Amino acid sequence: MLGLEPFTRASLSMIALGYASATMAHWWPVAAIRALVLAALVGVAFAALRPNPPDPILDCAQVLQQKSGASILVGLVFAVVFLSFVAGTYLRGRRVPMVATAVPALSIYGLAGVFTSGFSLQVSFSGFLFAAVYAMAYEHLLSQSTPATGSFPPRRSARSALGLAAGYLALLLPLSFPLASLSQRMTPGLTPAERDRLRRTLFSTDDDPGYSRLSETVSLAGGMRTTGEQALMRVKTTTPGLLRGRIYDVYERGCWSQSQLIETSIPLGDGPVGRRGRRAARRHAGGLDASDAREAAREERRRYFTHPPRHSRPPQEHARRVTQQMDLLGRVPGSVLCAGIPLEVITTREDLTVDVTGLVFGKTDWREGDTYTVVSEVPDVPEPLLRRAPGGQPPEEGHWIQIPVSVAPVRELALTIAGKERTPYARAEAIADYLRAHCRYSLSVPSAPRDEDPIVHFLTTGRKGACDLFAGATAVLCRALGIPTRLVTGYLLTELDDDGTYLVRERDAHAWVEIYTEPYGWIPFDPTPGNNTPAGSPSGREWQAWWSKLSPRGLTFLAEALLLGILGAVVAGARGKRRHEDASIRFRPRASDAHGETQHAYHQACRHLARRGVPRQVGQTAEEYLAVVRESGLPEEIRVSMEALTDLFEQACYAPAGSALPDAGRARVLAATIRKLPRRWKRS
Amino acid sequence: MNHATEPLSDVDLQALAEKTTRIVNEIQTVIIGKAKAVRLAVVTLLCNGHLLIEDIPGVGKTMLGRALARSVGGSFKRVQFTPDLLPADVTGTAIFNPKTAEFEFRPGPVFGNVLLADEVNRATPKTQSSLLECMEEGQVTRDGVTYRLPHPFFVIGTENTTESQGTFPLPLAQLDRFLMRLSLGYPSNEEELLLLERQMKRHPIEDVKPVVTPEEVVTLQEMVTSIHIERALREYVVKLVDATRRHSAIHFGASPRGSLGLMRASQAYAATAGRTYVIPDDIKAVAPAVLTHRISLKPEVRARGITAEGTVEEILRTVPVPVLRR
Repeated sequence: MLGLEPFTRASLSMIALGYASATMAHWWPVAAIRALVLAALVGVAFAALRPNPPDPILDCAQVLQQKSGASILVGLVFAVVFLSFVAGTYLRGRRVPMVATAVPALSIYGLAGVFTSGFSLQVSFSGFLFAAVYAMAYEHLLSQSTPATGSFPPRRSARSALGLAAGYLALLLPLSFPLASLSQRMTPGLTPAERDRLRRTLFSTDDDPGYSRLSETVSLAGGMRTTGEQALMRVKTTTPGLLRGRIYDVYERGCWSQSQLIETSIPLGDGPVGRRGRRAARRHAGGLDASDAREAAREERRRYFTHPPRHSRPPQEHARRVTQQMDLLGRVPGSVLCAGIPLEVITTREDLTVDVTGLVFGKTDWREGDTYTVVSEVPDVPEPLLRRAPGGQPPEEGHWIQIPVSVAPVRELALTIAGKERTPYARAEAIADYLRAHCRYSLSVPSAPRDEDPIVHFLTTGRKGACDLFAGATAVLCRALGIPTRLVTGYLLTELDDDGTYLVRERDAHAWVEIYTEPYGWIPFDPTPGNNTPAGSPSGREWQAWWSKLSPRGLTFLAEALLLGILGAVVAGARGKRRHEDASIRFRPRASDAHGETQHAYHQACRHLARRGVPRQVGQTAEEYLAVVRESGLPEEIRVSMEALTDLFEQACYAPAGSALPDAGRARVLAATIRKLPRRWKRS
Repeated sequence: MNHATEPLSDVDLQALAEKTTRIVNEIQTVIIGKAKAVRLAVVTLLCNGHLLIEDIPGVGKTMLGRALARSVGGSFKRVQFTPDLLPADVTGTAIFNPKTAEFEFRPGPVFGNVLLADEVNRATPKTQSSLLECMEEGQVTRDGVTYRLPHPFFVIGTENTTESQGTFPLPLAQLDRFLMRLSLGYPSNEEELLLLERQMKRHPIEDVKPVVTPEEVVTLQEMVTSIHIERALREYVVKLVDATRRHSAIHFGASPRGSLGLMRASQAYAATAGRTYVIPDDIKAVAPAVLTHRISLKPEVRARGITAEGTVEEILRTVPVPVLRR
């Protein structure tokens, strides 16, 4: 199934509830539910659009700063929502139809769809849209009028109505795909960064998952995982793989954090400056790109050597050096990202510190345009050797095997899974195999209950999670078996551009673990199934693959044209229907003729009374309408005038042509009397 | 037939309305309340149609028929339909006359101006159809000789719907011959009380006197045909009948005879209201009585408790009323 956003789920259930109540509208508690749903949908839409809401679904202030086009869009949506309600209420009398309830929901959803490029959201949006259309079509059927047809609607049995509504759905569902692609085309030209910020403001459910922010803590609480397309940096390297960002050793209350033992960091001493730095830069960046070397020469670059003092390093024969040059494209936390343990860092910054684990940090964030080169040491051990390697105690201080009491149930599970294996790496592999077999990768994870540990919940009930839960669970299970394990967050290099560089996007954020083995030190280990980057839920990818297979460009075009054609036909049909009704309800004045003038006067009076809440139904005769008018509590004068006018009208409309002419002057006077009824008057 | 060229004069109309009112009043000395049903019964007479009264026993079906028949004057015949009734008992039979040594036709009860066919669904289909043939064609053919029925010829059939044992329900094709089907329903408490009071001494039916002659009825029937019905309203009639054919709950809709009956009945109804032209309300007033017995609901719909009356009402509610002169 598609991973539906919380907003979609809420909207769908609202529509469903409102719809269910619409089918039983005569029963007063149901009418109350209907009103409630209506109010809730309107409320959600308006709360979301209100500037500076306490918990913003859409932060207007931020949108307004972003781009004038976006602000116009927000204004437009606001106006459309508001006007559609005013118009709908005015046109349909006091009973607001379900169509109106869908308007704010659709507007908000459409807005969300514009600012997010996630395909699954587009699909779910389309699904939502057509479910709403389906519900409305059915409601129309129930209220005895087929939408956009001019023919007389006979009452249908509930079964045939359902069948017809299903027919609508079958017809409309295939159109949801061209609609999605159409909405993609119509997306305004926001930059990915702008779009991503908006997406975050639209869908920030809980706190942002820490693993993508390299923040001080990583919360495993549920919520939408990051799928942002925003490009963060460009990496020039010869080896793809992981970019380490931050290391965590303490797990407590569903949250990974750094203990004081590893938090302490020491400033890196000043390295050699000036020409030496330039030369060094050229040497290290050499073979990558000459222009970058020139650029490096232009700036005052510093070269730092980190001297990994107490932390473990792999033996020389099982380590290789990797040089990576980062060009920042967006704002990224100040960690010096690299493949392994940094040895040399070349940058213009002066505020770098190194912590116990050997990771290098800057106090402030990297900004767009920053650049740095880092040489790091990556363990390169063949797997058979790893599987044989025994465990040990890492030289660095840290809470490497601590687990909280809340995950105690995990111990037994860990023994069942990996009790047979002897070495740390083999045990970790067994655990990863278990997780792949029993848990599913998903970016949209429901929150664990408050009193339950997220990892325990993931392993026992939820069985659904992104890389942070997979890594977190692996770490806890390994620690339960006494293996020193730590959680690492960073990025995964996957997207190789034509120019040989890797592009890192927000969605490439990743979390994995490192386990300690003798004598190779900390070995990175990624338990996430399929080595997935969080690039979209698997189902979303399937949809996308299916759709791209199905639709070459021409087909998409054709489908869009078809959609527009059908929309046009529906509009034309609706117009035709209105004309058809007009012919029987409204009068085309024939001013020259007493019959015509009398009828005209009568219709003016009817229209006026309809606006005061006493409309004439199509199936009502003039006499029946008069009876309604008599009982509606209108002022005496109006009632008497209407009685006389009805008589005149009947004479004008139905009497033989040769008989006495109706008194058109009197009809005009009577109509004028009725039109004196104040605008404020409403049927009580 | 042209409606516009020969508008009814005011004097004629007054006479028509007055005579109608007289008939209605006369009947209402017997039938307490039920003004609408009585008026519709008279409308049937004015349309030269036949009336079927269908209801539970004891609400005055036969009484209405008798009162109507008596108030019209002319020859009144009554046949109690039973399972052993034969066609000849209705239409008449040829009896051998020994004097002339020939078969002589003895006219049956159909040879009257008003025929009350009581409990018409108790007779066998054979007998029923012999009656219904007379109703439609206004003549009886016996041994190759055709005998014209008198004019006016008005059949009032009554039917008891509560019992099904030993009855032969009239098929749709035969129901169609009746212009209207009425049911009376229970009177209100006040009406029933009044009914008791009136019948303390003697039955008021004895006092019902003919208020119009058969010749007058024929004139009235001719006058009704010249009541004006606007083209838009004729279209409305057709739309209503068409709606019964398209309705999802209805198996068979009304026939063209239904449209014709609806138009005729609305004309007569307008005449009884003292108008020279039909308004949509006239059509709506007669439509249930004219249409209900001409449609048959689908069995599955009927099983859900939907009635033909409700369906016709719904059609009347939804079909747009013409409010524009063309």
